[in-house]
Order: sequence, then C-alpha cells, then structure tokens
Amino acid sequence: MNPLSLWTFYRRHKRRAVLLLSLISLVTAGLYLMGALTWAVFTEPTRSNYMYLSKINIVIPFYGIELDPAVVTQIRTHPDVERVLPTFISIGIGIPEAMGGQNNWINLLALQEEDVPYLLERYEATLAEGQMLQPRTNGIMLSKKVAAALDVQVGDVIYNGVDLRRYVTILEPMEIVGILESDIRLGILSYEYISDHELYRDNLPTQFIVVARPGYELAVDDFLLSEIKSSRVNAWTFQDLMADLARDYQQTSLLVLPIAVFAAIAVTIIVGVANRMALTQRLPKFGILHAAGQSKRWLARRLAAETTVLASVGWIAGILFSRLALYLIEWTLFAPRGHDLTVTWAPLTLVILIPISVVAFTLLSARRTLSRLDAVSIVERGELDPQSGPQRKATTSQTRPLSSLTFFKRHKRRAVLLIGAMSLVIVAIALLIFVFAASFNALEANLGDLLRTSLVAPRPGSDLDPGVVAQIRTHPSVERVVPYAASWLLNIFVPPFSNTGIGSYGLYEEDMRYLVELYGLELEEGQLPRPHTNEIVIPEAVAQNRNLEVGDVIGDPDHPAYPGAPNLPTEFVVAGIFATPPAQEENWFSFISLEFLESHEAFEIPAGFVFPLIVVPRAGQKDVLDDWLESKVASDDVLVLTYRQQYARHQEHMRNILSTMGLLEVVFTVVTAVALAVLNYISVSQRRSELGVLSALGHGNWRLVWRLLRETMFTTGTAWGVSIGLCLLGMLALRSTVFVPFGLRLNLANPIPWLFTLPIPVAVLAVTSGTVARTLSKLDPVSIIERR
Amino acid sequence: MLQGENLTLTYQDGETTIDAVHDVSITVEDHQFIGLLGPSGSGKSSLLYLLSGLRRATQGEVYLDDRAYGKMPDRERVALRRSEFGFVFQQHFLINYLTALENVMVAAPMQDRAHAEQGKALLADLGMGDKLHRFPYELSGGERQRVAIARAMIHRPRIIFADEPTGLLDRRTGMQVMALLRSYRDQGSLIAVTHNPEILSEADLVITLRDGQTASVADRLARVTGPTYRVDANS
Repeated sequence: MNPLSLWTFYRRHKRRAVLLLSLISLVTAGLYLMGALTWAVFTEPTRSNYMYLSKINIVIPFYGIELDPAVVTQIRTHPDVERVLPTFISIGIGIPEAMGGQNNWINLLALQEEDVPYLLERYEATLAEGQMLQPRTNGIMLSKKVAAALDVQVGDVIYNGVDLRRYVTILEPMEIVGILESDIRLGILSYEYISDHELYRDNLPTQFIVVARPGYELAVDDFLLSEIKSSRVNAWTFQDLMADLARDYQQTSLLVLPIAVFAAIAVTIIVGVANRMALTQRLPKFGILHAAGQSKRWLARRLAAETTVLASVGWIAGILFSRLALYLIEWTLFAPRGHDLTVTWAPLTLVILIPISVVAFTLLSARRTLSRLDAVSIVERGELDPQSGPQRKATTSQTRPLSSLTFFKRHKRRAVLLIGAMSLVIVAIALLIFVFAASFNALEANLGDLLRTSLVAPRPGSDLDPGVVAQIRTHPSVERVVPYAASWLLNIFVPPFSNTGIGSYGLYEEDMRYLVELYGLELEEGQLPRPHTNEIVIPEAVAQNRNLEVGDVIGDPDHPAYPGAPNLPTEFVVAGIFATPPAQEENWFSFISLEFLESHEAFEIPAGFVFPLIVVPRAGQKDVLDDWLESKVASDDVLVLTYRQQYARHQEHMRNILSTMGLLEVVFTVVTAVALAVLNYISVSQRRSELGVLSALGHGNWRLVWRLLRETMFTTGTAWGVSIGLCLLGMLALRSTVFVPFGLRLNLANPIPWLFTLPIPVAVLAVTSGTVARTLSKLDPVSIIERR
Repeated sequence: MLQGENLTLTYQDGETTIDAVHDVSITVEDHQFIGLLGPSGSGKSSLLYLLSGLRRATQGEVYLDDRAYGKMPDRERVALRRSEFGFVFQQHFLINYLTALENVMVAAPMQDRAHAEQGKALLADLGMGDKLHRFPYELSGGERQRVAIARAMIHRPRIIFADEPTGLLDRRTGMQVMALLRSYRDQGSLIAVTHNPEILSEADLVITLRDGQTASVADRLARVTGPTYRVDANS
C-alpha cells in the first residue's frame, strides 16, 4: 500500500472528502437541474405545442385580408408541395403546464373529411381510443398527451362554459370522440362543422395547411418564407419554430448563465478557502515531506491531484444525480400530465466551469502558499518560513481583540472570499426572483382598470341577458353601468419574456369622459378619440414601450411597432396619450370610439346588441358590489371580473413561478449551508489551539461558540448586506436601462424578493451553530496545552 | 487559600490504568510561591491541572476558600479560571493574529480603554513598552513569554499557574522570566511546575513529585539546611 497515495488520503480523511465532494456535487446538480428545468419551463411548451409544424406548414393571411387566389395557385403548383388543405386554426386550447403557471396555447386543426386520414398518416398517428372524427359533427380528436394534460377522456365535453381560460375560443360544446396515439401534440376537428357554424363561419378566413413532398420539407419552408411570407401574409414553418426556440433558449440562457457563473465562482472560492485552510493545517506534514525530499512542485501537484479527483468525482456525481432527478421529474410530474421533459446534455455548459475553476484556484493557491514552505521552519515551529511571504504589521492594537471585526481585519482575504462567495450565491438566486417579481409587479398595471370598477361580460359565443343587465343597473350598490366593447389592439413588452395584450375599451363619448374623470386620467399629449372616428388614446407606457406617438397608425402591418401584425380589422390613429398615473393607481387604459365600432362593418355589431358592462359602484360600495357580482351574477354564461379576483389569479401565477424558484433556492441553501459547514469545520480545527488556550484561560465553551457564531454572523450579515446592495444596484440598473425606457414601473418595495435573500444567511447561521457547538463540545484545553 | 486533599488523577492509556497523580495533598497560602519539581511523567503538570480546575480529580478534592471544585458546575470552574487564576504555559500559546497588547487583553476582565491602558503599563513594566503592537512572530521567545506573563497578570489573579514557563528559553532569559513571575508574589500566589530546580531557588515551598506521588516537600530554610520532611515513595 502506498501511504502517500490519494486513496490512502481520502480513506483517512473521509469526512472532509465527503463534505467537499458533496459540496461540488450539490452545486453541479443544482445548476444542471436549474438549467434543465428553466429551459424546460420556458422553451418546452412552445416546442411541444408547435411540433405539428414538423410535418406541415401553415399560411395565414392577416385579419380581414383575403389570400390572393394567385398566391394559393402559386403554392399548389410548387413542385415540392404535395398538398394544400384548407383549414381553420383560430380555435385553440390552453394547456396547463407541468410546473404550473399559465396555459400554453395549442392550435386545433380543422380538417375536411378526406384530409383527416391523410394527415394522420403523415403524423404516423393512430386511433388509440374512441372513434374517428365524423364530418359536420362537434367531435374533436386529441392526441394522448393533450388529453392527459387536460385530464379529459373520450365522451367528455369541452367549451368555454366549462373552463374559460383553457377553452376560451371553443364557443359551443364539443365532444371528445377519439384519442390519438402520437408523439406530437395534436387536436383535430371537423372543417365542415366549423365552416357551417354561425359563430365561426363569419370569421372564417382562408387559412391553408401546406404539406411538402417527403424529403422536401426544407425546400418548402424556404419557398414559403422567401416567396409567400409578407407583411400581410404569415407563414408558419418548422424553420421559424426552430428559430423561435433558439431565441427562447438564448433568452433563457441570458438569465441562467450569470447564475451559473456566480455559483461557479462561489463554489470555487469556498472550496479554495477550504483547501487553503486544510493546507495550513497540513503544513507540518508537507514540511516533513519536503524535508524528506519531495519538491514543492510535487507537493502542489499532489494537492491539485487531490482536488482534481474530488472535483471530478463530485462533478460527475452531480451530473448523474441531476439526470436521475430529471428522469424522476419527467416520470412523476411531466409524463402523467402529458408533458415532455427533454433531458439533454445542454446544461453541461452551465457546470463545465466548476471543476476547472476549482482545480485552477486550488493549484494557484497551493503554489502560492508552498512557495513560502521552509522545511526547517515547519519541523521546528510548525509555521511557514517567517522571513518570506507577506507578514502583516500593526501600528495600533484593538481594545476588543476577540471581536469579529478584529478577527476579520487580521484575516482580510478570508473575509473577502467568504463574504464574496456568500453574496454571489444570494445574488444569483435573489436577482432572478427580483427580475420576475418586477415583471409581475409591472403587469399589475394591466389590472388597474378594475381598481374602481368591475366588468360583466357574456361568455364568448353567447349574449348578455338583458334581464341581468337590468338587475345590475338597479342594484343599490351600483352608481352607473357603462356599455363597452373590448378590442385587443395593443400589446406591451414586459421584460424578461412576457408580451401582454392590452384591451382597448370602445366607449360612447359621454361614458369615455365619465371614466376619464372617475380614474383621474390626464392627457399627456393630444386628445380623446372623437366619436365616429378611428382614433385611439393609449397609455404612456404603451407609447414608450412601442415607440408610438400621436398621429401614428396602429394596425398597419408595416409599422415597426407591430411586426407580425395585431390582426386588426381596421387601422387606428393615435389621437392622444394618457400620462402615467401615480403608482397605486397605475392602469393601462386605452379608449376607442364605440360609435365608430358600431358603424364599421368589420366589427359586425348587430343592432340592439347588448354590450358588456363596466359597473361603477357607489362611493364605498366596491366590496359590496363585487361580493354581489361574484356570488349572484357570475354564472357559466356571465363572466364577472373584479379587481380582487383578477389580482388573486395574478398572484397565484406569481406564486407558481416563485415556488419553482423556491425549489431552486432550497438546493442553493443546502449547498451553501454544507459549504459553510465544511469551512467552519476546517476553520475550527485550524483554530483548535487558539480555542483551547482561550478555554484554559477561562473562556467557557458557550462563550467560544458565541464568539465563532458572532464571526459567522459578521460574515453572513455583511454578505447579506452586500448582496442586498448588489441586488439593489442591479435592479436600479434594470430600472434605468430597461423598465423606464419601456415605459414600465419597477417596484422595489415588494417584500417577496427581499425575503428570498434570507434563507441562505439563516441556514448558514443555523448550520454554523450546530457545527461549532458540536466541535467545541469535544474541546479539551489540556490536550491542546500538552500538544496531544 | 487553595487546598488539594488526597488528590488522585487516573487515566487510561490503552488497556493500562495509570495514576498520573496519586494521593497528593497540598496547601497554597496567599502570596506564596510554590514549586512543583520532578522529572518528566512525575505528575507535576497533572497536579497543576487539578489545582487550576482544568482537570477533575478522580479522587480527592480541591478547595478554594472552602469552595469545593467537585461541587461546582463546569461553568463556575471556568469562571474561576477566568477571574481568580492566571496561566503561563511552556509554549507561549499567544494568538498569532493578535498583537502583544491584544493578546494581553484577551484575559482582561473588561475589554475597555481602562484595561487597555493597564495592559500597556503591564507590558511596559515587563520591558515590552516598545513592542505593544507587534505580532507574536515579530517577537523573540523570551518576549513572547513576557507577553504570556502579562496576559496571566492583567486581571490580577489570586494565583498564577506556570507550567514549565522557562522550558523553551535559554538560561538567561529563563531566569528573567522567573524573576518577573516571582515579582507577582506581592499581589498573589505563584505555583510553578518545572524539572529545573534552579528556577525554584526563591520558592517558599518546593514539592518534588515522582511517579505521581509526593517524594519530598522542602521549604526555603530546609533547602538551605537540609530536608525537614521526606516521604518515601514506597511508603
């Protein structure tokens, strides 16, 4: 047996080896999981829901524009195109995601009777349960994954009366008649049924599925993108999908890469400090080895080899552990809900830095320390050569030598490294949460239109009962009801990802002035829309966000603010811009003329149409009104939107995201606590002599524990302060460089992200108390005095 | 007054039970200088640990002013070491990242300016006035031991326990260190452990230990005129 072998060393220093190994392993696993799950959450829904584009392309003219028959002919006659099928893809389903959060949209394909078997064959999909779709019926076929995600089966009826959020565009009940066996998420319904249905047929645009000849998919993609796609005709291709996914992947990487770098630096510092402390403790042994003829270079290589083995084993263990965890998550969480979790090797890019930086740091640190190694000094005094290397000098002495401040003044590098490492870990976690929370807080402005009023609307596809309207109008808590028509004309980009639609209220002139007064809205520029004109007044946030000015046209597909077009039946001219209201009152009100909508044929408002209502409560009666609306008026056919209900939904969404972040924080908290436990263990061992003497001089164990705890509190508290400062700086930078230019408010007063900075310091303190108390409970001053 | 009665300290060395101290009694009067003499392994350091409360006696009892160590909780014994006793060890055991003055302040009852001034005065008295802010590695062996002595004196303890205080010093420096320790007799007692009888020339009482037992006890007069009391190690 070679007594100097690494294996002998690890066998004799199991606890230290296991702690360092666990640390590297946990950080690696945490980062790998974070990357894999973040990418899964942000890119997997798009990939899964649009994978049907891997076999077909879709050509869609913009709203109100008929596809030129010559274009259709051009597509049909292209040599690489096998078939062109009419379709209708505007009906979709919101699929709840496996990790919680918003529903992600999947388009259902309306197919003619003869096209159904053709396309199923193309997708290699077979009927697993139920029966094939019959033409001109309200049947629907879903692939197994979609059915599992929706938790529905053959015979179930779905429509927006069952679940408005999932089935908002399914206006009439549709029955699930068949479940398809397919790797691709699919939903198929009858084109004949849709084209005959009174609620759909008037909106039925000419949309087409373009199927390429096998092997020519790429050529058809290129043809559609280069020759058919224009500012007025969209073409959905697999190439586009892949480009979108790559963009999403890059955006997500921008979020997770800094965390990965922070974490790698943190773990490098922690392992480096641990190794350095251990090296100091082992100096007598190295001195003896050096005296016995081993060169300093050999000793440094030996230390690097020890760390390399630990880092490599820990790294591989971390990766294996995280992949196992991912398979378990897929098996227990994703698959039963009909979701895919593509386990790729991509997160390796996030963790590759860890072993490299850990070994490099250790090697440099070891070389630096060992350069001062003098065998005689070590053997005689157990110290490095006192004549070499930087020796600190003091010009004054501290009155409180046992204070934490004195300790860290004399151990500046250790303090800086510890504080730096801990701050980076806290920032890595908290900053991400700050960004998400800021995004959610900014989006609260989209609920501002409900602060003083509530909405009552019919379920899509149905009309508001005049009896209900009369009942609301005469309720004692109601001050006034305002008829409106909502149009989704605008959208706003809220970093990091969300592109949110903003409803524009179509109002009669008098009602518009009333609401402007009620909400205290002030015009920053321009004027309110004049009745019977296609004018619009928009909030300042949207104006800044989309770079719009008075006189600009919304709905113009060529306008740079709306690449891809908002599907408007007509154009609107910006007549005025509302000044941003105070923070508590912030809203994104946008008004258009209801008289114009009524008179414009594209909006198809029939005479005598009962409009949805903005319900204005009497002073102090908002809660009473909302209680009544939610309990007595809301039904399957009548939707009631109150501020508290929408705010609760918004908060729920935020909680879902924060829960995922919370899981991540648990991993990082455990890692940091283990890391600090390692450091404390080594630090206390290294300072055994100091502590033993203090104990002999009459400093009791609890007093010593308290002292070490104070030191940890000092570093942890400082690290917390530094991380708070860094987060604050980061958020201020984000506010000035992103949020403000986009017309958004960034709320720093939200306590939730700040709370996320606390678990790590608290866990570190708890673990330190335990480690230190346990180590010191075995402290025997006499054995130290006697150098046993 | 510190009194040890029939003190025995037993410990296990593998499978063998060893009496480090066996049935030793000792009384230390105020302002007395007691020397514990004996070869390595004679039990003198162990006796010092028993008397200072660093170890609990297996048998027998130690009293400080009639307060029995055996009846004191650990916390109280620790507090006793902090307030009533001072320690000087063979190795200086100074904290290497603290200056000379800070090392002295470690044992001060209060870490305030008044005690810092007292620490400075003490170090100046010990000839270290110009090295208050030096770290231990900037000091010679004798200087480090002076700092350790100042640390033992800063809280004006009733008894200073010195365990081989000159063990690592050259003869001249060792004698200087002992002179400094002896000077404390005006304020309290001194119990010094050594295997070098030369440094105990000024001791009021020298107890010689052998194999954990008292081999002889000699006061200053006896050491000049011959032993007055002798114990046969085998009796």
